[in-house]
Amino acid sequence: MPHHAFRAAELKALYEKHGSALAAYACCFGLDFGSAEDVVQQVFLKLLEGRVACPQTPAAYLYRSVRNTALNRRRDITREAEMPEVTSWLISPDGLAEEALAVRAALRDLPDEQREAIFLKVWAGMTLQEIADLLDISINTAASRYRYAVEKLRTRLLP
Amino acid sequence: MKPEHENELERYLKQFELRAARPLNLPQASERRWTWQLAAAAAVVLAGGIALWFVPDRAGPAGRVAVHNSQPAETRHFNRVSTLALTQFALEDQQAFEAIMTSQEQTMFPRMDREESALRILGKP
Repeated sequence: MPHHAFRAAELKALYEKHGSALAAYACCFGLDFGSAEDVVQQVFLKLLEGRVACPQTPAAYLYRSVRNTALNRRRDITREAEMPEVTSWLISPDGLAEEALAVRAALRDLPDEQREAIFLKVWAGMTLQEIADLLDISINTAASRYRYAVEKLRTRLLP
Repeated sequence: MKPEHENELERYLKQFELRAARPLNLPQASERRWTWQLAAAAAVVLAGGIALWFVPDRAGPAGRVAVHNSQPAETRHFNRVSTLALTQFALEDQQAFEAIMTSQEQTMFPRMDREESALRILGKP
């Protein structure tokens, strides 16, 4: 697969574009926001040091790499302590504080895989095909995870 | 599930924005270069040390004698040679290196045939 080494300026531009979404994505696996930020920084640092080969379409690589690193980190954390609040990555707009609480609770109660699918579709802006590629699942599986999540969220949030 | 339901929910959820991640903290290029230079210097010193440690033994005692005997008499006696020069000889001129080592060996170590020779004492059962 073709790949190239990244310069710091390129990485910073990538981080500007995807950093917040990647940190939020890492939170989907049960990390608190600070740990999620650490995970993302670690992934970018590896790229800078050339310790990994990055494909020419870096977004998919970044999401995959953040996913793996976050899952490893979660494994370490769950051995030591209780899982932290998983939706600290959401900001409630003015006047919607109560609704934000409801959204957080609804997302928290979803199974991991459904929360991941809804996050990737809504906030990372991926298509179902891209989600399927990222997670190494069929597009039908990705679609059903997403639709189950939509159904549950709609029932709770938009009755 | 109708597509408009999906779109409605997506629009609703998108009101809630993502929390901004802290700025990317990458080490400066000069900092990384400095680390590499330090690592390279350490590697050179280590390689030099290993060379100094192993090279004299490569030829073995028999080889040293042979080299020593093959040198002209005037080249057999050397003054103290610096470590740097010794390393250079070890890497570039094996025979000269062996000759220097043999000469140093004869001038630095106590003679075996003297009564007070440390080697002689150690050699006693």
